[in-house]
Amino acid sequence: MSVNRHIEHSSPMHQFVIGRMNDWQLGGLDVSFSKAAVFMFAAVIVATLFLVLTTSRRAMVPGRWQSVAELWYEFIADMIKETIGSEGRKYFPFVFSLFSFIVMCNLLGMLPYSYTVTSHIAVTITLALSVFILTTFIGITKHGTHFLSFFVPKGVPLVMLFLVVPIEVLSYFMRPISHSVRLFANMTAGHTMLKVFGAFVVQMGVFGVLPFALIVALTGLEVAIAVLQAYVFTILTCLYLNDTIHLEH
Amino acid sequence: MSDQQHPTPKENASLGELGGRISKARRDAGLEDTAADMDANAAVGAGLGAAWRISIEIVVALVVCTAIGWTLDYWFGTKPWMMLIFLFLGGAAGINNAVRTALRIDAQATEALMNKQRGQRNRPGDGRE
Repeated sequence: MSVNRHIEHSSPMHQFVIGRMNDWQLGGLDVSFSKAAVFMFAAVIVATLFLVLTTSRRAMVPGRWQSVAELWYEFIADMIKETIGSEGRKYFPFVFSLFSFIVMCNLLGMLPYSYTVTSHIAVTITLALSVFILTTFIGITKHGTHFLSFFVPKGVPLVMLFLVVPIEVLSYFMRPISHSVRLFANMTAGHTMLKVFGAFVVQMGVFGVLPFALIVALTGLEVAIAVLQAYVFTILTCLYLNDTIHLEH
Repeated sequence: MSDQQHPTPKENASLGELGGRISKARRDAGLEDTAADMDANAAVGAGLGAAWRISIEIVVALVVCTAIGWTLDYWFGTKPWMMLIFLFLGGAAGINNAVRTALRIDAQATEALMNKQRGQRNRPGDGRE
């Protein structure tokens, strides 16, 4: 049925299918290069090239492009200084890479015919779990067994601790999930919405100008959300790092 | 792009004055948002962001904890007790995380406001009343 195929192809979820670029098999394992891998590599390469090229001149008075790179650097440096303080300096490379990677993935996803890597929970939960494992590791190496006091709020009666401690532990383990779902849900919802309104433009004929105008506005909003969600992901990373470094909620 | 194009201090002052006059004219013509408008726009954006951050905490904790309880029931054959216990624990954990997020956002907003007020008091007149 041609109608069916048409509907299937224009489904708003079709854009999230992870296609294979080639077909490689290695000892029975599927090691094909996927579309997601291509765009992750692209994000890393674009971010690296941008920062290397713009800062290569190292002018005392920065030109336009160098200013952008310096703004980028200062944005993250200030964020770390405000949320963690001076002890956060050594985590700058991690936080900066994380922000650059996410913001590049999100923005590359806004290009026509491209693919949004961060619209997959597998990607965002991997990022969130790396943050979770790092913060837990820092907490344990820095504070030893004292780290467990993180789960025991001060000034709670002994009887209540049987209820409060499990809740605190559960809250702690819910963090990477809410951390990843926030980014994934925002990206998926935004791109699905754009595609749905895109289908309206085709179906409504002359009146398609109305959804078309909406798409123009939504695209602007989506670019803003792409940057904003990368920011939110990064600032939450800073806050979680702060929690384990200073052992406070 | 070239660094030679940067204005001298004297040019800078007159450029600053020109910039002030241009933005004043634009504001009078209704072409540019006033500071109050921009503050209002920023407040709506920040409010939406805060709403997302807080609501996701509750939803995720509830859904995931209920799923954990359901799985434990499935393993141990204790239907429906684990699910019930974890439903309530998940609700509590969600509220716990949500309250903490809200307190943090509140603290950040208060600090930003204080900084802004301090900045406004100390800022010398820059020709754009």
